[in-house]
Amino acid sequence: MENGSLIVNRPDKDDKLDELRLTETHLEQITANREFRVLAEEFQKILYLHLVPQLLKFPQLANRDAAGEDPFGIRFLDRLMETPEKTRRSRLKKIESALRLAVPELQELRDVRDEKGIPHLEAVYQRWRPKAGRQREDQFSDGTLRLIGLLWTLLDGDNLLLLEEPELSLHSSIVAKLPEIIWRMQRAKKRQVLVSSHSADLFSDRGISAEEVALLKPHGSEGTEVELASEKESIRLLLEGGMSMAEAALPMTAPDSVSQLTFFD
Amino acid sequence: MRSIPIYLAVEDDLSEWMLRRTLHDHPIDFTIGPVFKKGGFGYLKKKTPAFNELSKAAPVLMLTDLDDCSCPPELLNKWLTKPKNPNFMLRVAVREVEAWLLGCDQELRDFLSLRKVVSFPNPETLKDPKLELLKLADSSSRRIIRKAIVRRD
Repeated sequence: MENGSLIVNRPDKDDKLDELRLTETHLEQITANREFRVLAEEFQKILYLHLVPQLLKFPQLANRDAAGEDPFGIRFLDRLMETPEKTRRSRLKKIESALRLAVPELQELRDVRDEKGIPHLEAVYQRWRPKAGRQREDQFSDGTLRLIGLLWTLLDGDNLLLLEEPELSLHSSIVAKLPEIIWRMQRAKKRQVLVSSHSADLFSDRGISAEEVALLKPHGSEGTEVELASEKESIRLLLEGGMSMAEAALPMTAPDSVSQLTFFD
Repeated sequence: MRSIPIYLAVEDDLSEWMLRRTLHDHPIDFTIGPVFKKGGFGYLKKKTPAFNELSKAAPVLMLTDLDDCSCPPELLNKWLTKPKNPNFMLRVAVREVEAWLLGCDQELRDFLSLRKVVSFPNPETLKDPKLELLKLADSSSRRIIRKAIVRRD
């Protein structure tokens, strides 16, 4: 629809004759999208990341062929190895220096291939033992893997990046730093990053302005209502009264009957 | 008549449900919007100026305990740095919101499954209403009530 007039109405009679047409949207079909292919291509370039550490540690759990665009990071290590060696090493060095602040015992992060040619990440964990062995990604903590995935993705490419709940598995003190880390890393590339989160630690960053926050309110099968925090008078007043974005916005998105949840048994 | 949207600001779950119940019983129809609750009075005290601002958009009802403060007007004077907006309703339970529960003797006796009769003719004069409520819960004939409400340490 555009300004109340109907532009496309799918499925149409051709779709009914050829069911295969239904496997692609109007935007994806190359015969249909000729006039706005630039837009379709831009959409294709969008990177979505929600790295699931268990799938990286135990790739046999997932159907690698079915992963398609790899939103859950199953082929994260493959993608990492496809990067030219010089760039890859330099990025891993950067990531290691950032990780050293968050995971002080982790050192010498590097990529290796095992005897079957499968890529791995390896690092030395400095503990009380003077000659600590090297450990591979299946022994890294979930938080370490998510942080590596996040930092790598921020360094990789300059297309629109969608990050889903980057706070998962991370210590609250690290989560509180995420907005600044993301902002610093995308600033040089002028890259746009969209983050979804429920985290009070993340939204406590005083640098987050009301124009940068959208509140999502699900309405069941009717879809989701999106409202900019800057357009909500209540949030503006609370911020003026000295609240952080977390304090002002998060209560607005809490489910109405959440306090009844404890009586579930 | 149209329902009036209202924000709540409370110390804990008990205060929230006290207000929900009070508003439910009120002849005016209220739609309760977001509830601001972070545990304890420190948050409420610090954010009182923000709730005062918020009440310019819609009524805000805040409930806090008097605790060790000597009287409610003194607490209001301490917490409010600017004149209070008419739509900001700051209510103070003397001494604690638990005292309000102790006033509902028959309902409390039923809910806690108590054998003995509950009688607190002047619950607002009690020094520690929370302790009295815990003592009652501890004498419940139902194990689940004793286990869920009283912590032994």
